[in-house]
Amino acid sequence: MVWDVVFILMGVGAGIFLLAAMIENISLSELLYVIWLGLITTLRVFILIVICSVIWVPIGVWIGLRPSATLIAQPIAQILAAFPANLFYPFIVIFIVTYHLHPDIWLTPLMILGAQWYILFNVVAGASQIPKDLLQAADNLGVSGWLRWSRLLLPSIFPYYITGAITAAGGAWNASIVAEVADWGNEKLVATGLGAYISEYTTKGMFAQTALGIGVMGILVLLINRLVWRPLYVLAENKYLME
Amino acid sequence: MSEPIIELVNIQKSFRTGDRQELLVLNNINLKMYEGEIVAILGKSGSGKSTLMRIIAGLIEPTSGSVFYRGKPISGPARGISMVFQTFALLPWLTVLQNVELGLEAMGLPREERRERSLKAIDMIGLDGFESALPRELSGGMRQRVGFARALVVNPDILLMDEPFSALDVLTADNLKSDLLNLWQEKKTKLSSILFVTHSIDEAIEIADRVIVFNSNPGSIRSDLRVPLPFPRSNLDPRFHNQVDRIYTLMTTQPQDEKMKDDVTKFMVIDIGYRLPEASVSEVTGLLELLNSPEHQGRIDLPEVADSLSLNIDDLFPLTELLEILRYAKVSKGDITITEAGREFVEADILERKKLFSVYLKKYVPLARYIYDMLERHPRHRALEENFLSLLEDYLSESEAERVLSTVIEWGRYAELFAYDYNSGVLSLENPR
Repeated sequence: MVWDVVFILMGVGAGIFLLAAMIENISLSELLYVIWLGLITTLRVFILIVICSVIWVPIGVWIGLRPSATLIAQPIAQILAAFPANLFYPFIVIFIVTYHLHPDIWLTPLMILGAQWYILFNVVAGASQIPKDLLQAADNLGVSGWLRWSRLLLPSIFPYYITGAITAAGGAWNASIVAEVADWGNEKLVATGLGAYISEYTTKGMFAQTALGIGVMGILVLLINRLVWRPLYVLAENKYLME
Repeated sequence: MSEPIIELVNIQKSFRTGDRQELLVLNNINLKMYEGEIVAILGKSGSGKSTLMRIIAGLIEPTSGSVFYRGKPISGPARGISMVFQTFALLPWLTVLQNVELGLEAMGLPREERRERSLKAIDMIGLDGFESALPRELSGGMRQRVGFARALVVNPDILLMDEPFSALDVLTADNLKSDLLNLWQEKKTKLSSILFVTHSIDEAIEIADRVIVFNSNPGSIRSDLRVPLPFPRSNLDPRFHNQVDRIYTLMTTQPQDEKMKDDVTKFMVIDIGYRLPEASVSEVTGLLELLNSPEHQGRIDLPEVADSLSLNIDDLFPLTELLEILRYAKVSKGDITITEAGREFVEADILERKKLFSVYLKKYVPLARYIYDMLERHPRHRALEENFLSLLEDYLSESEAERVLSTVIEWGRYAELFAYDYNSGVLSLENPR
């Protein structure tokens, strides 16, 4: 009880302090600019989730339907998921600098390095849960190819996939702060995006801008969760969950 | 006789358990099915009959042997053979109509034709008005009707049914059975033959022209009987009862008994990896009490036991098997007879029963004896259940090993032979000395 009150007071105090600092230091045009940056990062996250899904859903289903492959794949994916993204910085930075590539595009994959595995994990789990009888019933009716994917496999894994995609998207937002800015030695690459903005002002130690960036990011994540993921999750629960 | 529609030649199937062990589930199956037959495969659960059905449908490959469908060997899911599942196996996100249409869609038929044929099948199977319902809105019986419509809409040559009625209540099942027989007898479908798997003797006699009785461990064909009764068949008919009796006798006589029919005193001896029956002590005691009651005088006809306790053979046979293992009763030729030991047990009081049970458990169930010995030898009289589980996995599949261990633990706890802590999985001696 006492701690609750203390925490609430601390929260409110910090809020007032930050709000005061923001009103004093931030212009409307900067606010709009930060929202614009947020939308760019949103677009990045969206594209990454789409690309990862296209890659990992078929692979995950393939693995999940084969118990022996599942046993091998799970630990490997777990190790990869724990691999820190900044260990890739040297390679990426050298690669981008050498070939004169645009950091706005080529830094993006760093955001999903750690988070993509959640999609794979969940799809594997989903595919391995498909009842044998359903697979056999489909085989018995000669259901194959795209029909098999659209009627049986994709709906079966949908609830699992959504869980994985939500987690991966969250992870990608989080990673944008470290991934939109990459430096190695004297080379420093910066992409246009909210993550880079936050990262920049955190390094400079400027409170108001950092708070604004994080605030906008928080609101965006919340809105997307409400407007996109939540409805999909409800659909998954209601329509696509096996009894 | 004409050419067989389905012919199984030396079918053998084994599954891998653990790292090195192979578990044989089907052994040397040879079977022919002919035009116009309804054939029942009857066996205890775990006798591999469902696996056999999937092999016939081309859904599972046999380890060796071959399946011929109208003279051609089957490899991969066979067209012309439709299957109905015990679990219904409907796609939960598709409506009744979409589920039924699935097979036609796979055949690449145009939308119009699909619709028309599906609606006709839905009509025929009595699902009119439920076209747009999702499976979860339907009762079990209605769901299985969708299963039938889905299987029949593709105009199959052969219908395979894997315990199609066992997830349904009795009235629903009867209703569905008579509808199916009706479709068959009035030739409303293009079916040439029906094969179904069941563990109910009554169900087999009710529907089938031929009953294939299966042995378990490994599954093999015990005998192949004709059912010479006219339709409609009623289980009130004494001839029906005779057929049931005949199969009970078959199923309870060990194959070796047939060779030495006089030797009625021979009891079964089991080894440590034996697939112990899933029987609870209280049920077994109840059966013994029924046997020992004045009206039965220690001997009852098995179908009568099944009736008066309303058990099917999957519930009853584990009980009689345990009684035989412990030598509390003897089953032969469809009858069960209590032994002296059985009488002593059932007439004792509760504490005395536990003592007697523990003596017999140690004497005749090697697994229980082994666990007890290990605990006694251990300095602190404790052991983890995993140790025994890995031992059992050399003999049984993983899930069976778990089942057998938990069964023997239950018996051991009743007998106060050892104690068990569910959370830690630790077995210990009840009263360490």
